[in-house]
Amino acid sequence: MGRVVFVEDDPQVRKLVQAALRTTPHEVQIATNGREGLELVRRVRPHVVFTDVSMPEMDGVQLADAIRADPELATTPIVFITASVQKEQIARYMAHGASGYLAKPFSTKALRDEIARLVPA
Amino acid sequence: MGRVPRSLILFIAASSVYAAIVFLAVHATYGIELGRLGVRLPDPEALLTSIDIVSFLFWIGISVIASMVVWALARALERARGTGAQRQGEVASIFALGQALSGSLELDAIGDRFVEVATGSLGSDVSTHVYVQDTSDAGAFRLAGSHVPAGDHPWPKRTTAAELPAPIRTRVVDHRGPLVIPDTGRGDESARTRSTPMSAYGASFAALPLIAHDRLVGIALLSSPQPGSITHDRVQVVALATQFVASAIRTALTLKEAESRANREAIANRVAQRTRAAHDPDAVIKATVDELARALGVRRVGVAVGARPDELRVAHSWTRDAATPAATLAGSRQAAATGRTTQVTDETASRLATPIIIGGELAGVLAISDEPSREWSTDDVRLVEALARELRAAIEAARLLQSRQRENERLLALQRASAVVAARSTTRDVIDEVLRTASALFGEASASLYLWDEQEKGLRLAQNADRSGRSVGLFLARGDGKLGDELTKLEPVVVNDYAAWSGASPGGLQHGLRAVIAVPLVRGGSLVGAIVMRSYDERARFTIDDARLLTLFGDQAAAALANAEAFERQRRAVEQLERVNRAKSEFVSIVSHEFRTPLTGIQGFSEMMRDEELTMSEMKEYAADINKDAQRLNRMINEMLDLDRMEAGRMALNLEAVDLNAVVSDSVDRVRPNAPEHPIKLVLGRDVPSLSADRDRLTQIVGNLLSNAVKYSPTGGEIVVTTAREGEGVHLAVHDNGMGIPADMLESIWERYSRVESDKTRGIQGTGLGLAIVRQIVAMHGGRVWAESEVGRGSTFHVVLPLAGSSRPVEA
Repeated sequence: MGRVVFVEDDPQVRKLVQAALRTTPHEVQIATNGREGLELVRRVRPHVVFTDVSMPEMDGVQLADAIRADPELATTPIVFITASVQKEQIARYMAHGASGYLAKPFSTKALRDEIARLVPA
Repeated sequence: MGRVPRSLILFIAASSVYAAIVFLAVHATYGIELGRLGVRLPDPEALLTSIDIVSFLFWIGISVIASMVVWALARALERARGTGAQRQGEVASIFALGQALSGSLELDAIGDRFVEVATGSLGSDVSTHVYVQDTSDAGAFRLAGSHVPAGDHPWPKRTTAAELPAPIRTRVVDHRGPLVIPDTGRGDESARTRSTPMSAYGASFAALPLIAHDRLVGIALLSSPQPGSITHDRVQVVALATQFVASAIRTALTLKEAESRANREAIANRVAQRTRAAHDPDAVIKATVDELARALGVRRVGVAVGARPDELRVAHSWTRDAATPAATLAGSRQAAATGRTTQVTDETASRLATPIIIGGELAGVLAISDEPSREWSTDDVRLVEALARELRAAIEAARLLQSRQRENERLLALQRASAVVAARSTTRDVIDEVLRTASALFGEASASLYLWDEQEKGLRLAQNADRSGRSVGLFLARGDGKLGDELTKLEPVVVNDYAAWSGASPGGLQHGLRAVIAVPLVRGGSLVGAIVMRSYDERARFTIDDARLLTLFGDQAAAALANAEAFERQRRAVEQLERVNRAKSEFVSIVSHEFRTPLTGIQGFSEMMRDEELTMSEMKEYAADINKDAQRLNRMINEMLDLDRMEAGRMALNLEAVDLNAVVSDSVDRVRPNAPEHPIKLVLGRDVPSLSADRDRLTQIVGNLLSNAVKYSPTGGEIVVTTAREGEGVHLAVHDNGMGIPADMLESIWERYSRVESDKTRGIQGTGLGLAIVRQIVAMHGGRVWAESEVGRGSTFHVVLPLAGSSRPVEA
């Protein structure tokens, strides 16, 4: 059973994620922006972090940087959830240490597959 | 006692010898006769005493009487013979005179001949003077010949009609008749009317006119210390001689005059030729000076140039026996001041100066002087004046050439500058370049550029390029009678005596402004600006040429300004288009973001409903979520379309009486659940009246502003919404404690798709339409919007709406 942290500012998306993952064995914790997300990551030490890119206060990229800057968290896989799937954007996410990305609108299956790929069984 | 003729002496001697022979013969005859008669004379000596003495005396007496008779006869004969010879001599002398005069043309020789004739006719005790008219000076007479016996005083070498004694002047000069006064001691008719009695000139006096072809060419004066020695009869021969002499004098005079004129003309021609040949005024001046020096043989000749008597500067001078040029030219200042030829003569020197006048204005002075002093003849004056005229032409031609060259140079500079000016693409650069060029074209003056201010109806200073630091008029109003007024007539203004100008301003006078040249910048027949050159140099003079040049440049400048403005407009338009373009592609990206978020919900929940086993309540819940996201998507699309319609003027307001406070309260109530981290404070004015507005649009305004405030402020950041009455309107303000807006963005944030781009805002979602919609709605209500902000501290968005919804046309 893995720990998953999900950072998303949109309430509908948050609700969708919770609903989609309610049947998986993973422990899912949700934050509404980057700053809260970083606190949550430090506390929970998740196996994988999903983060929206566009958020107030601290966006997904800043959150990724903060995680990579923390020696204890640096190896945590990070998946960006983004509306933009342009190559430049993807490259940017990779440069900031992304392990993968999910393009909005994403299917619940893709979400679950991504978790399965990154969380050790 | 007259001398005894030799014939008389011979006669007396012969008479005495004859008497002695007769005596001896008689004596011998008596002795022989007495001896033959036998009469012995006891003593022959005694015998003589009686008869001899008687006969001797008798014979002596006869001899003496005879001598007397013969002498008388001889004398009479002598006299008769002498008179004939004199007459003959006089006639001969007149013929000789005529003959001599037919060949001789020298006035002095003619005079001498005449004097000879007069002296021969009247005797050497008569004093004779012949005056001939001066060729170079009408009204003056020059002594051509004279005979003055010892003790008699001579007449002057030169005289004028005015200086002659009145009777001579009247009778001889004016009426051209002879004046003969045999005895000046016996008061004649003219003696009473003159100051100096004619007796002062001699006991006997005559003045004869020398007339040829009705022209008085001279006067002959005869005077004698003997009363009655000069009579009408006695001057007949002399009078006859005057006719020959007058004719000869006239010929000589005519020739001399012609020669003099030809000479003068030759000099003037030579100078004129040089003038035409030489473009260098200095060369012309030098040639003229040399020519004049050679022609007149004076000690000094010089030309001074200058526009004012106290500014004369010696351009060239020549002084006999002196290598260094003269520093000043005597008399030149006076000539310059009076504008007329002036002659000054004192004991040591004579000076003659004539001004060189060009177009009524002083250009210089031509001056000559000679030592020792001499009289300037009319010829001299004429020559100097003629050369001054030639110099005028030379100086004028040279000036013209110089000014044309300068103008050409300036035109070239102008052309170059115009190209440079035209190449400038911003108004600021054009103005800089225009002023730089104007300063270069009018070296000493300071250049200012004014632009027309349509609201103030006047010319406002755009830029001033004055190195001296003097201030210039900031605003040239129309209708104040000064420079601005003149320029609105669209004509160039040239002022050369600023202090005396009716349009002088106190500021200009205070700074010592001397000259101004200003040209209007005209576009499409109306004034768009002006270039003003101001000079504080007291010698500054702007000319018509300057005005023409500056006008040309002004036209170029106006065109360049127009181009730059058009270019700037174009560039602004292009920038605007680029910005819009950029904003649009950003918008597409943003919209895709925004649209994808509700789509995520729709897709995700519908997938779950399709793929998973759900309870009915779960089904319903997810269906509601899908519906919510679909509505959200729909709202977003509507918002975008609304703005398009508003901006296109295709949306009508549904006006009704609306209570702003109520709208604000409702909106805040709706936002609060979605923004639990942001405390929203309401400060609602009690006296806020209801206004005529579109309720839904007003709600949209408040909603958008609140949504922005929430999005751009940190968690916990307080948002304050204020309403208040403001004059004939209501004031709505939404204040946040967010990141703030940079000052240069305060205007552009209201534009469509515009967002403050920074690391901080990158994560903030928005359609980029919120504020554009607010502005559009407010504008449709006839109100206005603005924002205030301090970066890092927060922003306040203000909306003022009029009470009566003046639905004015909305700009597209």
